Amino acid sequence: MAALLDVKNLHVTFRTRKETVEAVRGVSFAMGREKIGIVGESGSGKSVTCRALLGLVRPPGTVTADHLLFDGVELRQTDPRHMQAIRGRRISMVMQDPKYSLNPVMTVGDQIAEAYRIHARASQAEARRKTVEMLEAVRIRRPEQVYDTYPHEVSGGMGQRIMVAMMLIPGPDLLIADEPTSALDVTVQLQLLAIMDDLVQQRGMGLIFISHDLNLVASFCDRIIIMYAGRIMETCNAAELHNAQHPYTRGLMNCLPQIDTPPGELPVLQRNPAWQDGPL
Amino acid sequence: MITVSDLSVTFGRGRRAVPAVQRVSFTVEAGGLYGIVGESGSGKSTILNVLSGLNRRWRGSVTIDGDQQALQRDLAFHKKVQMVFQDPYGSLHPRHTVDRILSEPVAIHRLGQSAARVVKALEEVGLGPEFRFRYPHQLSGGQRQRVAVARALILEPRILLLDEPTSALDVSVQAEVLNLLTGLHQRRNLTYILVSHNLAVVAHMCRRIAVMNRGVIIEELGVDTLRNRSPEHPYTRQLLSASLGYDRQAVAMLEEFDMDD
Amino acid sequence: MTTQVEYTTPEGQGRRYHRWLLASAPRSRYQARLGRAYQAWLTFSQNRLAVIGLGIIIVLVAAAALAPITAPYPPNAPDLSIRLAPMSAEHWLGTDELGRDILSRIIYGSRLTLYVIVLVAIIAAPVGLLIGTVAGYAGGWLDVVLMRITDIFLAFPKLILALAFVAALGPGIENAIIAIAITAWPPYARIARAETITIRNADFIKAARLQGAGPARLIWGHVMPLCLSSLIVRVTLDMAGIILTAAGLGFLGLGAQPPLPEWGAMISSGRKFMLDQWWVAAMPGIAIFVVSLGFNLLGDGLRDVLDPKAEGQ
Repeated sequence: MAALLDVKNLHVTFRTRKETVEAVRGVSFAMGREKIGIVGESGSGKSVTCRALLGLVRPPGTVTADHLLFDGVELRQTDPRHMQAIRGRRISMVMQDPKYSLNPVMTVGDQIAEAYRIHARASQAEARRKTVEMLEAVRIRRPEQVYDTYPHEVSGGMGQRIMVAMMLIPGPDLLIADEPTSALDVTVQLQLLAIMDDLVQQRGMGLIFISHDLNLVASFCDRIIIMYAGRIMETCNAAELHNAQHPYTRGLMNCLPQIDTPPGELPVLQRNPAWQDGPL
Repeated sequence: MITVSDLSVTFGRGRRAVPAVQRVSFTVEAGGLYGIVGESGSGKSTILNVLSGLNRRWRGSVTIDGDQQALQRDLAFHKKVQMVFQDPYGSLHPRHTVDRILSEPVAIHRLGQSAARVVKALEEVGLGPEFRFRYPHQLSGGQRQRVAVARALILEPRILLLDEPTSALDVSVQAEVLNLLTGLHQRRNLTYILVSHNLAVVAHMCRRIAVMNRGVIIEELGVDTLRNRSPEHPYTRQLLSASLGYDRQAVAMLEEFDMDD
Repeated sequence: MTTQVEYTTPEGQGRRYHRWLLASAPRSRYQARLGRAYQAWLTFSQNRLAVIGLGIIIVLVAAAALAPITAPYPPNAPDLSIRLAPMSAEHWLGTDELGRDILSRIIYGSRLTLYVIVLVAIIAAPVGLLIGTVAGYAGGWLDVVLMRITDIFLAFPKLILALAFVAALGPGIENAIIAIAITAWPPYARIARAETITIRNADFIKAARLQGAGPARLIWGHVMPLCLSSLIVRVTLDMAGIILTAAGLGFLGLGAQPPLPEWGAMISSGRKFMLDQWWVAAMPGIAIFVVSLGFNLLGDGLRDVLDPKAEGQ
């Protein structure tokens, strides 16, 4: 698989008067048109990594890397105008809570249509048509009606589907989903994942799925990257997760309560300070 | 220990009335570990709010430790029943030190010896005395939740109501807090009611589980039934299979049990 | 052995206190509180303009306190032979129409300014805080009643109400203070109520209620401390307005009565000489300007420090 995204030695550092935080310390990975999951706890740097790809890290954050290649284009060198063309048009991002990522004063349909018209020259009528099509693609029944609703009128699950519609309507090659299902109920989660799964496959896209939920990522993605303290601890195929080598990965898997675990103590993750300098 | 009979809670009035809880009944024995699992809007948190006395608009009957409960609760009740909340960042007052947070209940109930009690409560949740004068923003999420548990325990209650106590915590921290709760239950012979949307957590911690949807308990089962994958109600089966992870085929078969869309 | 040297030099002592205040495991409530205040000070002092504002206020307070020492002349010693004298070595800011030294009058006038703003703040802020928190916490009809009362007071422009007071009670600085305080408290009530409404649904309030805390304890111990930040910022920023209102009243002859060296009254009496002896009106005007500016800078700086979003970083 030709590399859609190739990241080498990514560092993101935040320097304030009080302290210096190295959020990402030397992350390298490559992906093709496949589904990759990035798993980590809070502070692992998983979200910051993806924001750095999209150029969404503002000062006092600094981004350095050996290279950040998206389809051959070096993302760091790109000037702001070209970055705007890439953002949304070729790489899109869906975030956790549609309550905060949808504009509350515009109808849902108008927002999606706007996302379309930013990247494609189209009339209002054409944009509306495309929007309704997209709403159907994310399996919203009665898309014409939903077009005219406002974000506060829809449920969390539908809000996320609207976000997916908005992010996919310009036809990007790579979709980054940052904890898209964490605020949703478990059955709604799976429905949303199925929609994303189908769309990503149909369009031959790549998908980066960021989550703290190891089980979910293992069952949904093709490959998994496990991050801790700004570094990648381990990368493996989803099917081989049970053979994971790194003690952090094993510890993370073991401390999850499962329906089948007998009651009693859960093995607690013992953090080894050596992991801070662990695999790159 | 706890008997709930025909409990109903409605929010709003007239045409906009929403029945949050509809004629729910269940019993928890002393020393029990009872779980209530359901998705958002199922009414599970509302039940806890009624049991704790935070919600005063309900109909039905609630009996705790032999006493029929009125809408308003008294001081003695609060000594017996305590609650741990979901959000570790919201449940501690940002301007109070840990010491102040823990000594307040002691002062309200006039128990005396607050310094000794505070240190002992911190010890029980695995925090040393150096945490006594810190502010919440100087603590991690797991530490804050431990302080919340210490606060609930300092009055030596018999019943602990747990409202999604680990949902906002990292997975590794969740394991520590769940272990803490398990240990406390054994050592102090408490009665727990644990509410969560996470079936794995509820199945791990509880012996009996009520599954709720849209204000109604649709099934009550022992945890072994879950382990044997043999729940009766289709909604429970669906919840169970959804909790096991993503399965494209299974998703296609998901039914709509509520009127989303 | 470097520690020995550290603790004996003045610099070393300073560093030791610094470390004690910023200790991550304070050993007493006292240490924790001081530590927090110290951290707030460190953040505050990063803002140069805010420190300048604080400096101006400190000069104001010092001038008021040390007036008998710092003022070169008594404030009420008329000397008609040197009336309306321009700025010179003997009279740095010149003399007014009765030959009194303007600098000395301004220095003594700072006492009156401080008197007014402190009293107004002490009366208006607690009243506003109490009414706002009770209204916000109680909700229902109590909230409605209290807020409508607040609206009534809010509807009065300060000067009009002051005129009414003066007509009823006679002119004087105490009446001016009461008049200003009565119109100053409504915005504080509004702010306190808005904060209270946000706070009252927080989990920590629920937790306290579950411990058996009554409304009084909740409002006093839990709600009010969280309202204080916004309130302090607002009061500080309002100081400038209060000073101007008091000066306005003095200008109209309704505040401090002659011969008190109230800055507004000084401007008023200097009006007649604006064209030729501009310093008589301008100097007190500059004093008002500088003090108002000081409070505004201080208030801005406090807002940056006390903003709850900045807390806990």
